[in-house]
Amino acid sequence: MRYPSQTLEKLVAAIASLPGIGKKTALRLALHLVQDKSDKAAVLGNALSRLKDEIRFCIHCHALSDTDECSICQAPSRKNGVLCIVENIRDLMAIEDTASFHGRYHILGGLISPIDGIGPADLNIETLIDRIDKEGIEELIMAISPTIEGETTSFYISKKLAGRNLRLTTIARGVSFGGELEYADELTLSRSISARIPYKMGT
Amino acid sequence: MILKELTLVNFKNYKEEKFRFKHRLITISGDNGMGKTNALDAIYFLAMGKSYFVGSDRNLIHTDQEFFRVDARLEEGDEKFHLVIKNRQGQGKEIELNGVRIARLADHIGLVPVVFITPDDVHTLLSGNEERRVFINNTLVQLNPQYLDALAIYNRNLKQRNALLKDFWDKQYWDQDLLDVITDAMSAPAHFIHGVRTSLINQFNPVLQEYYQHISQGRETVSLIYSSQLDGNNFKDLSIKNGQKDKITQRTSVGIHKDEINFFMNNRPLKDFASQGQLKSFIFGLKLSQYAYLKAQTHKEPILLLDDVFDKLDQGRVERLLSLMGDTNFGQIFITDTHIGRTAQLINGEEIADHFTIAGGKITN
Repeated sequence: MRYPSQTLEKLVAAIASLPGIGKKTALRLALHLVQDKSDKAAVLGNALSRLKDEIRFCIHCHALSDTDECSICQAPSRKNGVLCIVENIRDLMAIEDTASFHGRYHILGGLISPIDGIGPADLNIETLIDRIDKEGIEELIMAISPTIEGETTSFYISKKLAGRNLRLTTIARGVSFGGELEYADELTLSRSISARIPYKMGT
Repeated sequence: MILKELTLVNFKNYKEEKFRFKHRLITISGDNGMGKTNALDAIYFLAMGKSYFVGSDRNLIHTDQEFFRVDARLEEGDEKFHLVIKNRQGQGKEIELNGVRIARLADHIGLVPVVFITPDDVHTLLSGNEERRVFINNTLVQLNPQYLDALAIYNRNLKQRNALLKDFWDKQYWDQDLLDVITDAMSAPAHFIHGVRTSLINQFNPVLQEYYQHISQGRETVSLIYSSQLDGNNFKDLSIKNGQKDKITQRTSVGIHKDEINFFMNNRPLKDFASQGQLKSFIFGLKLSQYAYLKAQTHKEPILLLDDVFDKLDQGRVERLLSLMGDTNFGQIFITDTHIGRTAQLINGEEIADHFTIAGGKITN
């Protein structure tokens, strides 16, 4: 495609370099910004230029933050002693959205996968162990995807924590809420049966 | 399971074609390269979610097209099924049964049991243990969804373990904990697969003997022998014992990926002592045993796909094979042949069979 303006061409190329965005979508977004009458382009530009300078990683949990300590780690309302381990910031945000977890998080920054060249040293496992010892953690919730690499990572962490007085839990796996049994796949259903949970007796 | 209708869109050399089947026997004739085998492969694909011949789904898409679709209407007793598998380039396959999406292949395989016999089988099955393990796997995944899951977990962890051993060597370090975690994850699937394979092969042998004798008219005794490092051994113990070896070779030396399946005739290796005719009879017997086994286990009649087999067999064997096909032990059978009319003649009569002639991915009769 030939562009009437080099500035436009540069912007299209920059937008198209983002994941999930093709040339056509990039052009549509770029033209929208050009033709927009408000200060959308300036706001976006300002936000983008501040991104790399101002965003940092929380020194405790490795979440994205504006300060050295993220808002969750700072919040006094958060329950002490409970840590939820997640793979990445998106998983953290998904759990935060449920508003049903009140402890703090620890972001691993990936999963162990030798095929992809990712070993334990590439993840935030050492800082996790430090935190557990320093912060007096009583319960560790493994909120890690139940994939093969997820299982390896959870199991590896549990091995590294052997001998500590700590309650280890993992998020429940099974039939989804509102789902019908007959449509659940066999692996999920068989896990749901073997990891069944107590049910309150009627009174 | 009976296939009533098959529609192929952009599948290999088929642009768009619809087959309607009325009978139990279906013959498909045509010259080489016209699409006979592709039609059988489409049926196999419906059943197994993958091609018998082509590794990557991408290569099943008709040249210059972006997707393919295999659409089938099937019947089992009173039950009717509408099964669609489509693949859009770069998006992977989608399986839909009666309009409901099936997320995992393991939950689909087994609905339509299938056995495929091709002339290449003799060569393939005699060439190596890996090919023979594939044959065993293709039998077991149709019976037991847990088998496919176990195999997938085992293979993925095996890859990770090998990658880790290589990384240890390249970067000169050792992490026993991580190696143990991955080895542990392989243990349960390994023992599960070993158990299922052992029981399959025990049940296979008497059936194999029966079919072999029927086709060959020979008096030889034939058998499959399964041998695994896990016979009487524990996977974890063996892995520990072979730790040093794995470290040096940077490969996992213990496990069900090393299982051997060997063919024997009169207690001697088949390959070294059998004639060409005996080899063919053996492989046919093996495939028919697979059929009988699937039928007994699933209580469904598998679809039998016979590709170009009459070209490779002598008259006597063809007749005995057809006499087997004629009896009611078999469900629907699809037969391809380059000689137009030959198979039809052998089967004698239009009333019991559908005959198709194919040219350039189109039905011409």
